[in-house]
Parts: sequence; C-alpha cells; structure tokens
Amino acid sequence: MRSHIAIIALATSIVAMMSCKHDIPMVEEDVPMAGTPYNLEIPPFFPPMDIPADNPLTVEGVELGRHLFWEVALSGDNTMSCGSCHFPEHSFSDPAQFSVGITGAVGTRQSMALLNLGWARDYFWDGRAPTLEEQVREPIPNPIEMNQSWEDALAKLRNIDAYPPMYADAFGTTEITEDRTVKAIASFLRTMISANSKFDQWRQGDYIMTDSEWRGYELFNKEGGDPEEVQGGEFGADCFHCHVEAGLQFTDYLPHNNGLDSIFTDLGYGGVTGNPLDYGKFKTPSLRNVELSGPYMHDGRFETLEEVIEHYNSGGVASETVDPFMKYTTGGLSLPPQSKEDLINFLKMLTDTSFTTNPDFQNPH
Amino acid sequence: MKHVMMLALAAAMITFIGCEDPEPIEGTLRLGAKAMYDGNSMIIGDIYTDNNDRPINIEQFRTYISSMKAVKDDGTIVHIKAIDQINFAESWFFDATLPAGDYYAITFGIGVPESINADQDPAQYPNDHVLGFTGNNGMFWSWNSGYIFTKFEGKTALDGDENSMTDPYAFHVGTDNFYEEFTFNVDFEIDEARTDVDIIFNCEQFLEGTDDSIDLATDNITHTADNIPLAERFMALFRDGINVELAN
Repeated sequence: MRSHIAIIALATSIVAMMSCKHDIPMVEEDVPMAGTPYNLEIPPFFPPMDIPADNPLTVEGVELGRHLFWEVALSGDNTMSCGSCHFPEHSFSDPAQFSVGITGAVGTRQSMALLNLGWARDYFWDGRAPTLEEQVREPIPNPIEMNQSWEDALAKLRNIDAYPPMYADAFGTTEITEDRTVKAIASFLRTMISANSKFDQWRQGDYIMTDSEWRGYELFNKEGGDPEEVQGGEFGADCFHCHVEAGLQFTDYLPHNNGLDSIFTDLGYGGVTGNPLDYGKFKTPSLRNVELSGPYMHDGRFETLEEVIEHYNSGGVASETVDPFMKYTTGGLSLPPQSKEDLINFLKMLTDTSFTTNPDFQNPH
Repeated sequence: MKHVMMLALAAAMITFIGCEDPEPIEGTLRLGAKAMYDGNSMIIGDIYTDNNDRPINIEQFRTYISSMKAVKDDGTIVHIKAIDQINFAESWFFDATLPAGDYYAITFGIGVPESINADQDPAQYPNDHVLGFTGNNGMFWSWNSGYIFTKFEGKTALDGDENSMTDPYAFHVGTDNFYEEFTFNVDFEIDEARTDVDIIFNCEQFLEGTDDSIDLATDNITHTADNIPLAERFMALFRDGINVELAN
C-alpha cells in the first residue's frame, strides 16, 4: 500500500512538472525522401543561398528540372519550352523586345535574364511571385505564353516514357504533379549561377583591369552629376546605389523607378501592391551579362547599352515615385563621351560566357 | 520505505509550489519606435507641410538602432538588443526580458557600431539578418563606407503644388564618424506587467531646429561622404528630434 502511494506521489510530481512546460508542436514537412544531395558551390564573395526546406536540391531533381525547362510538351501546341524565350546565348533572356506566345500573342514586358535567381527576394519585373516555385507556376497556363492548363501539361508528361522514372529518382514516386514539376524547375534555376566574369576573376586576383575598365569601375561607384548643379556630384555614373557590388549580384533586388516615364502605362510593383508609392517601380535587374541580355528595361525600350547610359545621362523624367538619385532636376549625369565608353567597358567585364555555354544548362532533348 | 514515501510526497508538493506565481524576478520591456510629424503619427506617403510651408512627403525612413540597453536605478546596465533596423513604414518594437526593478534610463546607438560597419561584407551574414545581403534592405553602400545608418527621403514641391510632388530630397547618413550613442532618462519599473517605452522620432524637427533650418530648395541631397556639411547639419537636427517616453 505504501509503495503504491509512493508511486502515485512520484507520478503526480512528474505530471505536475510536465504541466509547467510548453507543448512542443509537431511539424510535418513534405520533404522529398529521394535523390542525391546536390553540392551547390557558393562562389567567393557571394551571399549564402536560401533554399526552401521543402525543396532541397538533389542531383536528380536538378536534372529533371533541366529536362522540364526545355520541354516543349509544357506548351499547348508542343512548340514552346521555357527556353524558347530564354536563350542561353542571351544570358537566358529574349533578344526580342517582347516574347511571342504560342498563339502569337505578344507580351508587354521583356523576358528577364535568368541567372543567380537563388538570391532574388521576389520574381518577375513586378515582384508578384514571392518564391521561385511560384514564379515557375505562371508561364505554362498563361494565355500569352505557353497557354496550356497544368492539368493538360501533366497529362502529357505522364505519357512521355522518360519522365515517370525521372520523377521517381527525384521524388521517390512516379506520380507527376504540378508541385513536383515546379520544384524541379526551380531547383534547376537555382543552379544557374554566373560567377566567372572578368570582374569575378579580378576580385580573385586572376585578372588585371585595363585602364578603361578601371575608370569605368570608378565611375560606377561615384556619385553622379556636375557638382555645380548637384550637391555632392562627382561626375560619376551613380550606378552603385541600386546595382550594389556587395554580394556580387550587382543589384539590390529592390523596386525602383528609374525615371523612364512621367505617366505610367505599366504600374509595375504598384500594380501588385496597390500602393501609389510603388507605381512605376520595377525590379532592379542584375548587371551580370548585361552585354548579352538586351534589349533593356522592363519594356525593352532600349536596344543598346549606349541608349541605357544616355537615359541615365539625361537624368530621366520627373514623376511622383522616381528615385531621388535620378538627376532629372539637375541635368543628368553629365558624362563626357570617354566616360560613357569607360563605363560600358566596365559593364562588359560582367560578361560570363562560361555561364551561357555551360553544358549543364543546355537543352538535353 | 516510510522515508521514500515522505520524500516522494515532499517532491510532489515542492513541484506544485514551483508552479505558483512567485515574486517577479523579471518582466517584459517592450521597446518601441514611433515616427511623428507635428504631433501625429507619421504615415509614409502622406503629405505634410515642411519648415518652408511647402508640401512634403516621406517615402522612406529607415534607421539602424544598436547597443540598446536599460539602466537600473542602482546603475546596473542591462542589455536589450545588439542591433536592428527600423523601417518606419511598419510598426517596430522589441520585447526584452529584464530583471525586475526600477530603471531610470534607456541607451541606444543610431547607426552601426564601428566594429561591424566598414570593411564588412553583408554576404557574411544570413540573408535575412538586418546586416545581411537582402536583410539590409538597401542600407549598405560599399565595403569601405559600410552601412547607411539613417535614410530619410521623399519628395516636395518647390512651387508649393502638392498635386505635383516631384522635387526629391534624400538624406543618407553613415560612416563611422556619424555613429552616436544616446542616453535618455525615463523612469520605469519592470514587474509582472509589461512596460512599454517608446523612442519617438519627430520628423518635422529633422529640417527645423532651434539653431538651424534646412531648406529643401537648396539643401536636399547628401550621401554623407559627398556632402559632409549637410550630413552633419541633418544629424544635428535629427538627434534633437528624438526623445524617449513611457507609453503606459
């Protein structure tokens, strides 16, 4: 009897102690249980890449993603893949001002270059997709792009002999779903890293800049404007505010209005957030491979880098959301011809053809 | 056996007693930050009147706040938080657990302390860290000049027409020389109830003070290094525009 009382007392004590603790919630994650971990090498001076816990990189997932990126069956008439608007030689962008979908419909924004996407904070020119997976979900059913329902696209993939075993290798099941498809393509896109430009080589001590490239680099990092007109002006090009060198992405990935229009026909981020302060703002693109990825701006209005430089040199036009560092009220950058040439020579240092020709990113079909 | 039973019962009693509310040995300080304009909450994008009777809006107001501490009446200094970035487009507060007792001051720095400012690479931090690549939210210049401590920018209309707010101003202040720590006396007690203390930033005072006045028609842009005199003038007004008060 005494021993029973002792046991009850001890048990009560334990229960009482447990009641003082917080419950620990159990979390179930849909983590693929298949595939070989992919060793993603982060280049020197790059930030860490945040990879979603529910979509870890695997060798098999990345390879499946590459096949899907180049898969024309994802389009309604089997003529178009992601690669149809993202050409490797153009840094996976489209040399046309606007891409043309399978119905002949023409888009209203320029196809963005695809590189170093794993470091972006959101996707599309207007940032409407918060993750790469959400970005990948859009083009297939978009009527002006690949114009095919996900249901039909998945049905086609299921009938292509190669895919069920590839999904099994990547995800542990032959079942082909929309989620697994976007995860695989997103995984592939995360591996598309450009980090071998002349500038990267210079940062690692393996390249010596020419005089012109060095002058261009200095211009890139100097305040713009004639000091007689602009407080603190240094006759620089003022690029570094938005195309920051830190992290070697040459973008802050933030939305800016760079003074293209005084009246907005495309609201950009403002069309997504509904906030008037975001009207006319678009994602700042990376300048990596900018030599290859024209035409430029969200609507591809400039065909050449010279036109782009001239836009900034003019200062752009006033509006209520234009970035305060555009020199639209003070005569622009006032860059002389030699400075423009030097700046372009620096920008060409960001070209990385080892990226555009990397066999791991090419069409496997 | 009798001893075992008594021991077990005593253990159970002690455990139950341990779950009862003891005298508070610590409590919560909610340190918040608020931006005001002419005594009202400042709303990003709203139009106000500046010191020269021109319309003005604030499109972006961010600042790094660091080395946050509370000082007890006995002089003990209690650490609150090392660093954070306040974006005045959103509410900001931090709940810190402090030892119970009476306090008389809050101290903090505006900016990033020298030891972690210049010669640093945001890539070394996790991306979402306030000093990290994306987490700094455009508050980093370059390795040699470091972080932008305070960013205060927007538009005005020099012709007075608030329907056409297109004249820019931007005060971006940073570099080690501009890092400054402040101590504000504010009496508060930490006990079982949460105590709220707010750091108030009175934005209208950033352009107009007792000793100086900035006219946006002529003095409207500084990135610090390119226009140190204006950065100094702005920061002198800025620090006079800050106060700390008990919120409850």
